[in-house]
Amino acid sequence: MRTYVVEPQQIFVPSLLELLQESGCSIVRVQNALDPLDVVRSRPEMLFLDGDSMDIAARQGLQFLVDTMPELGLCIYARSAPSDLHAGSSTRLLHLEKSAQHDALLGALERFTVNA
Amino acid sequence: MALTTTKTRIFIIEEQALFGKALCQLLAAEPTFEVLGDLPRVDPAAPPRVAADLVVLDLNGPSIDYGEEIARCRQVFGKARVCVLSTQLRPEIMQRCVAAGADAYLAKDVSPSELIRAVKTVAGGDSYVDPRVAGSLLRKKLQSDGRYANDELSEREGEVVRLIAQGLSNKEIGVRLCLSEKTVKNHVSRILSKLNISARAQAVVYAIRMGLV
Repeated sequence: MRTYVVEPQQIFVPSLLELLQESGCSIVRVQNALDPLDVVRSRPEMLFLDGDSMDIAARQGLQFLVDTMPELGLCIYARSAPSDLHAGSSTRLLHLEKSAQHDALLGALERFTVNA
Repeated sequence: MALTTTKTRIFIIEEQALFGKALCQLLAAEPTFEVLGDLPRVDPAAPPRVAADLVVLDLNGPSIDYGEEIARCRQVFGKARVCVLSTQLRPEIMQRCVAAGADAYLAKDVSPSELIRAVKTVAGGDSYVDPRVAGSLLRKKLQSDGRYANDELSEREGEVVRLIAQGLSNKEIGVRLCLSEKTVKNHVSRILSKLNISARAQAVVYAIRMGLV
């Protein structure tokens, strides 16, 4: 699954990419902040982003992507599920809890990508 | 003649499991560091049986008591140096952490090389503050003509601002925080005074700007 990654924590990026690739994702781009137009241009199948690092502009950008790319799978890595995201009925949304261990994260990602 | 070097023994407290492993890998690759292990949180009832020289402590979350967490860390790890990692770049949070005994304050989006530099600095007995936070604090001090300006709200005042921004009245805030309406009113007066504003609506703007809501 072609995956676009938004993760501001540089220290974390190598481990994250390893996990995503282990689950069968191919990485199309890694950015430290959400650029909605770049996501549109990159045409990923899944957008992975750190939900705890989003400011108001990033939340608006994410909502724009949900509205304009209903086929885009969303993987939100956050302490708790995003409550202010108005996902359409066709949006595929996966919430990965930050406290989860490697195997639990891997299992959830594998199930999500298989069902895509 | 064999050379002996003393390694800095590091323990990591990181709630985010995968990030904790990433920290372990990064720091363990540094020849002068020895990573003793990692845990998701500090638990004085079940302390890790290690003698750490330095603790990398992840502190995040909207309702966290920074002072209490650092005190708990000190209780468990004794005289170990404490290096706080946080997603917050707000100077007032850094000030709270330093006041509670943290030796370093870093944002979690630092580069690997900066993290290593900070840990080495702290291990060497000095303090370290993320330059972005230090710069922001310095600018605020200059702007306020030598006085700390609008970010110097106490934790309780921060809670009150957050609840004001949620549209609660003084009475409702009192119920939520187990305070009398009069006490809440006093908090609100102090908040307006500290922020140099005159209306609750301006406090809402402040809360949004500071990411309190």
